[in-house]
Amino acid sequence: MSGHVEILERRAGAVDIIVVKGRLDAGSSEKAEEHINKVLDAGGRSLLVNLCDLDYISSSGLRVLLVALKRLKKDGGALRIACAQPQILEVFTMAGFHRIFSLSPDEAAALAGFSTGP
Amino acid sequence: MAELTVRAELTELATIAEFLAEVLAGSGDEMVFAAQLAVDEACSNTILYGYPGGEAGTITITCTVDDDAVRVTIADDGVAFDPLSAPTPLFDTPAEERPIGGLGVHFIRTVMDSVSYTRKGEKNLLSMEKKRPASP
Repeated sequence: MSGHVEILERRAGAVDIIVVKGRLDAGSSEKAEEHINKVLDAGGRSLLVNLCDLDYISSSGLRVLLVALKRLKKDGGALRIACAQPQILEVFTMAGFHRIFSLSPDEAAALAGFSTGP
Repeated sequence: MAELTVRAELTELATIAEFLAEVLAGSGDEMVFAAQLAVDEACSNTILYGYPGGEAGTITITCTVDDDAVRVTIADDGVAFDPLSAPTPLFDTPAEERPIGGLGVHFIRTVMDSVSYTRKGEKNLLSMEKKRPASP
């Protein structure tokens, strides 16, 4: 059971968007990993993870994002995170992940990054 | 003093978070965030690695709110394990090469003011404390 997380998938042009809402903890990170892997297995190379409605993330959630980032970098893809919550950003910062990931304040800014950024 | 006992299962992590939010409701968002993160990381470790034999045990969380500090103790009946012995993450290493282990303990140490571990009888006891901001 992972009723405390909700995961939605969308597409915007060539960008796959995965929206994670609720809690991304050790109990729900496997579900998020399955969604991300499904997108990458299908050939997705531009992945936007929207955490704007995420209430909580632990090191388990960060691990899932790091694994996705490593895989995309290896395959010449890109991962961008749209993230609005100060406490989510605080966890990224504590882990030093704010230097590793492309973090945008909202989804529109993250999407724009795919067309302009490397 | 407030106390919660749950099965050592991942689905209980949300129950633990709700318990802390209730008990610490008057202590401010930062305190709730810190306690939830530290306790969640510690309990996740216990649930994932504390019961290699299969049958999950129980975790008891005790929370005390004083004028000066919040104290949380986590007791579990899993295998003896001191989470504070985990190595610190390698922050100078590039993302691609960095091992993820130890990050949870790093979070616990960062958000709490003090953390200590003892093994008492058949139980692991992890105690943590965070000072409350002085009243204006």
